[in-house]
Amino acid sequence: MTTNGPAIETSDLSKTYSQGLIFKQQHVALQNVSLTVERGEIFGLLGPNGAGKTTFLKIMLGIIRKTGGRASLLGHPAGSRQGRKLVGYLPEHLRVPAHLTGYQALEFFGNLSNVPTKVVREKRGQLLETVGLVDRAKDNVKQYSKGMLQRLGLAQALLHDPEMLVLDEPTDGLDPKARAEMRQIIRNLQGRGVTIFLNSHLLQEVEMICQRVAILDKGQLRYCGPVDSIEAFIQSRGQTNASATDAVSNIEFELLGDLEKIKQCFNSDATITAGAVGKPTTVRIPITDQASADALVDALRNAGISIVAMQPRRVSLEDAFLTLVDESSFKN
Amino acid sequence: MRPYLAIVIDSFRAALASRVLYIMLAMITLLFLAVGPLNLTETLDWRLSQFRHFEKSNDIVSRLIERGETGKTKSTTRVWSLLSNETQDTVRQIYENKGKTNNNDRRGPGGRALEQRTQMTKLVDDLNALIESPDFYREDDWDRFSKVPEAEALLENGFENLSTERMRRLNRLLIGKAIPGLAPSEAAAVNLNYWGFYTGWTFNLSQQQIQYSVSSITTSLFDKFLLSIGLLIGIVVTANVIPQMFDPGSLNLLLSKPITRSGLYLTRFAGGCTQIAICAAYLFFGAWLWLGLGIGVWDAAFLWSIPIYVLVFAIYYSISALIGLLYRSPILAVVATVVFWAVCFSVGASYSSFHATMQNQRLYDPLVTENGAVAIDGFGEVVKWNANSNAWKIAAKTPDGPEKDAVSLWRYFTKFKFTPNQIRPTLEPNSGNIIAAAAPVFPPQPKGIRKYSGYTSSPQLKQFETIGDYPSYSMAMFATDNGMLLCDRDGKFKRWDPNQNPRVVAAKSIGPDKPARIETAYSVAMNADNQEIAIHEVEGGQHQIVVFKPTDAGYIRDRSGVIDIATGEKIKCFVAYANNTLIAVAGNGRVVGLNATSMEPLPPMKTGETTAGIETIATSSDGKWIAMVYGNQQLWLMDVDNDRKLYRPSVTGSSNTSSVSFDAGSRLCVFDRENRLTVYDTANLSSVQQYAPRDTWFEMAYRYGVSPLYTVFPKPGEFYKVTNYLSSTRNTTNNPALDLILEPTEPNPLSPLWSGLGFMVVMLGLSCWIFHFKDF
Repeated sequence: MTTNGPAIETSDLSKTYSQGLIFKQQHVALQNVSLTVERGEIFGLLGPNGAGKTTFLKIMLGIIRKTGGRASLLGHPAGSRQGRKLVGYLPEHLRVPAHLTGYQALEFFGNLSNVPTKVVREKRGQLLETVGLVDRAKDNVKQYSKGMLQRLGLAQALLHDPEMLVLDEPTDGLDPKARAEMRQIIRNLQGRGVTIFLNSHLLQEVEMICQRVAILDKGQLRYCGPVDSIEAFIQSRGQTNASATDAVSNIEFELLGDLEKIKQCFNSDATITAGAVGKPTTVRIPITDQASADALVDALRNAGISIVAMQPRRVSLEDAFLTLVDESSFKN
Repeated sequence: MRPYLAIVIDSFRAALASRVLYIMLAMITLLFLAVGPLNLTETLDWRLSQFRHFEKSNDIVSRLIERGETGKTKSTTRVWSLLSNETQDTVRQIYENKGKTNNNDRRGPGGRALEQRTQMTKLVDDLNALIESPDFYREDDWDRFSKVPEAEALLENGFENLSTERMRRLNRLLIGKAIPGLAPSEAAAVNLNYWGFYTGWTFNLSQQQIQYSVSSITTSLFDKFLLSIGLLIGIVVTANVIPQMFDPGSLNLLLSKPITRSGLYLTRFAGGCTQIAICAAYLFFGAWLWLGLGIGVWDAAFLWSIPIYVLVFAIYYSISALIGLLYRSPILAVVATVVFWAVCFSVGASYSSFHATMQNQRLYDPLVTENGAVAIDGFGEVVKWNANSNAWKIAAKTPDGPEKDAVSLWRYFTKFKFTPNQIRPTLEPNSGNIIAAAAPVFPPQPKGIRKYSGYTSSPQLKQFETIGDYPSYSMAMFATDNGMLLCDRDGKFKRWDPNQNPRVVAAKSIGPDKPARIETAYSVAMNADNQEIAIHEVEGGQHQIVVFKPTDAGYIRDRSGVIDIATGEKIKCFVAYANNTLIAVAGNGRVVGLNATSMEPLPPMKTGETTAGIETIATSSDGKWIAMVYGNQQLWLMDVDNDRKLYRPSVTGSSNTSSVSFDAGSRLCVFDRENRLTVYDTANLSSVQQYAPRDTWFEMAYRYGVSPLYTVFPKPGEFYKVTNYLSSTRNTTNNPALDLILEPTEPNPLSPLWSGLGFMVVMLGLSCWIFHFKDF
C-alpha cells in the first residue's frame, strides 16, 4: 500500500543500549536525530565507526527498537510490518544459507517477502541478469565470491518491487567494474522512482551517486542536506564558530624551500604537509580576500620560497566529513 | 503463511544438505533390515517343552513306570516301549530316588532338582522324537482317546491323510492322553522365523495374546530406547537450527522481512521438529508395517507413536531452542537439554518415591458405623479412626516382619498392584460387632495363599480381639441372619456364629450341591434381603451368573442366566446383587444386567472404563445404588431404580478414589486421595461426614511440593502410559478378550502428554517473548 509523505522521517530519534541486569551500563547510540529522506532520491548515510549509522538503519527496519523520538518509514511507523513490506534490504555482511543455489536463494527470500514462487521464477532470470549473476544462478552459493553474494543480495532485495531500497555497503567487495555496474543499477532504480538509502564508508561512491547525505558522529547528526551544499555548510559552520578568519575559500600552495621558513609565513590555520626530499611542500590555508592572498605571496617570495603551484581548493565530501567528524584531525 | 512455509522448507533443505537426515534414515533402514526378516507364522502346537509341560515331573515319571513299564495302560505302555533304553534307565532312576533323602548328598534340594531337570531333558527329547514319528500312532493303543475331541476330529479323514503338522499335533494329543501329568497343550501356537527359517522359538499364545504382548514390548522399547537415545540424537542433530539463525548477516535480513518474530522463531522450531518427524514417520510406519506383515499385529494405534515421539522431542527441543536463542551456542543447547532431562528424571524419581510411600497410606474397604469407621490399609492391616488424634490407627496387625519394607520397595520399583483383603470388614448386625481380617500382602510360600487372621470388635470399636484364622482359600464374607457366611475359592459356603463362645472362626459347610468356582472376592455377591448368593461363572465358553438360594439344608444352586460380555475368554466379572437386579461388571469394562427372578438379560447398559479394570464394587443395603471404583481411581455410580443409569458422580476426589462402600444406612462411603474418608447422602450426594487425617510434613511435602512440581515438569520415561492408553490392543472396546482387572493401571495416563504440552507452550511463549523484545 503506497502512502504519502517522505520515505524516512525521524524526529529526535534516540537509542540507548543497556547492558547488565543489576549494574546496568548504558550506551547512547543515537541522540535526537531528526532527518528526512524524500521519496525517489538517493540518500547517503555517513559516519565513522560507532557513529550510529547501523543503529539508525536497524531501527528503520525493526531489527532493534528506538528508545525515544519518532521515526516513520514510507508513511508507516519504523519497524512495522507494513513498512518492511515496502522495503528491500541488502545487509552489509550478507549470509545466504550455504545449501541454497542462486535460484533457491531467490525463491527463499522472495517467499519471505511474500512473493509467490511462481512470480519469483518469472522474475529471477531478469534480475540475475541485471546484477550479472545469471550464469551462476544454478551454482551453490557457497561457491560465490563476496562480490557475487552482494549482487545476489541486491537481486533478492528487488524481488518484491520495493518502494525503497536500503543498501548497507553495497559495493563492499566489488571490483571497480562491478562497482560502476552497481552504481548504474542504483541510478536506474532511482529513475523508476525507487528511493535509495545508502549506508557506505566509501565517500567517493556516495559523492558520485547520492543527491543528499547525512553525517552522523557519536550518535548525533552533524549534517543533512545536498552533497553540493556541504561546502557552504562547512564555511557557514566556520563563521558561526567565530573563527579568527573570515574564510571564503581554501588555497592550496605547492612550495619549494626551507620548511621552517615556510612555516613562519603561515598562521595556525594552515595545514602543512611536508614533501619528500626535492618535492614541494603542500600547504592548505583559508583565505578571506585577495589582499591577504597577495600579502601571503609577497611574504613567501621575500623569504626565498619558490611557488610551484597555487590554486583554489574546493571542499570535497571527504573533507567535509573529516571536518565535521573531527576537526582536530586536520590540525597538526 | 508463505514466508513461514519457506522457512520450514529451508530447514528441510538444510537438513538434506548436511546429510544428517540421510544418515538418520539410513540408520533406520539398517534397523529394518536387521529386524524386518523376523516374522511369526501360526502353527499347531505339538512340541513339548520342559519349561512349560514338565512341571509335574514326578507324576510323569510315576505314570511311565507304574502304567507304562508294567503294561497296565496300553497307551502309556506304547510310549514307554518306544523310549530309548538310556531314557528308560533315567526314568527308572528318577522314580527310584523319588522321595528319598540322602544325608550324604551335599548338593541340597536345589542341586538335586537341577540334576533331575537335566535328566528329564532326555525324556523330553525322546517324546518330541515320538511326536515327529509317523509310526508312533497305532489305533489299538488308544481305545480310550475318544474323549479327546480334537484328536477325533483330526482322525475323521483317516490317519494317512493327515499333513505332517496335523500328524504331530495328533501324536502330541495322544502322548498327553497317555501321560496326564504333562501340562495340556493349546491348539494354536506361533513359530518365530528369521528370513523364513524357524528359529526354534514357539509361543503358545493366541493371536490376541500375541497382539497384547507385542504391543507391550514395542511400547516398552519405544519408551526406554527411542525416547532416550533417539531423543538425544534428535536434540544433537537439531541443536544448530536456532543458533544459526542468529548469524548477523542472516538474522538482520530475516528480521527486515515482513514476518513476525514469533512466527519466525516458531517456524524455525517447527522446522527442527519436522526433520525429526520425517525420521519418526519412517521409523514407526515401517515398524507398523513390519508388525502387520511379519507378526500379524495390525494395530493402527501404533501409529500414534509418530506424533507422540515428535511431541516428546518438541518438549525437550523447546529447551534446546531457548538456550540457543539466549546463548547462540549449539553445544550449550545440547548440554542444557541433557541437564534438564536429568532434572526432569530426578523430579520423576522423587515423585515415584513419595508416591510409593503415600500409596502405603492408601486405605481400602471402609466400613462406617455409628461408633466410627474401620478400613484396611496398604499392608493388609485393619485400621480404625481415632477421633482424638484425628488419625487412622492400626487396630489389628498382620504378623510383623520385614514385609512392610519389602512391600514399600516393591511398590517403588514395580507396578505393584495391591489386592485388598478378600475378607472385608463386615458389620455383624445382631451384635453390632465388626468382624474383620488382617492378611500379609505377600502370600507366604510354599502354598502361595494369603492367610487371614480373624478379629472382632465390640460395637464401640474400642478393641479388636483375635478370633483365630479363617479357613484357607476364604474368598468372601457376608453377614446373614444366621451368622457370618464364608465363601471359599471352590464355591463352598461355610457358616459360623461370631457370638458363640469361644469366639473363634468355627465354620461349618452349608453347601451348595453344585458349587461355582469363585475367581475374586467381588465375583460373589449377596442380596441383603433374601440372602441369595450370586456368583460369576464361565461354563463352556459362556459367562453366566449363578444364583444360590438358602434353604433349611443349606444353599442350593437355584438358577443361572447367561451374560453377554462380548467375549468367551475367561475374564473376570465383578457381581452386584441389588434387589431384583443382578449386575456384572467384566474385566473388559462391559456392564451387563440380569433380572434376578427370570434371569433374563436387562437392556444394554453403558460400558464403564475401557482402559482400566474394575477394582471395587459395592451395593447399598437398600439395593438402590451400586458403586464401582476402577484401577484408574475413577468412581462410577449406578442408580438401579433409575433405569440403571451409570455415571460419574461429582463428589470430592471422584477421580482419585481408592475404595468405596455403603454403610448400613445406604450412605456412600468414599476413600479419596489416600486416606480421606467422606460419607455422602446418596439422595443428593452431599457430604455428611468426613474422616480426614491431618497432613504430616511428609504429606504436605508431597501434596504441595513434589506433586505440583511433578505435574508441571515433563515426564521422561512415562510416555508409555500415553501409548498404552491410545493403543487399541489395550482398549477393551477393540479387544474385549482383554481382562484389565489384574493389569496395572495408570490413574492419569494422559498426564505426561498434558504436562509436556503445557511445559512446551510455556517454553515457546517465553522464547517468543524474549525474541520479540530483544535487540539484535
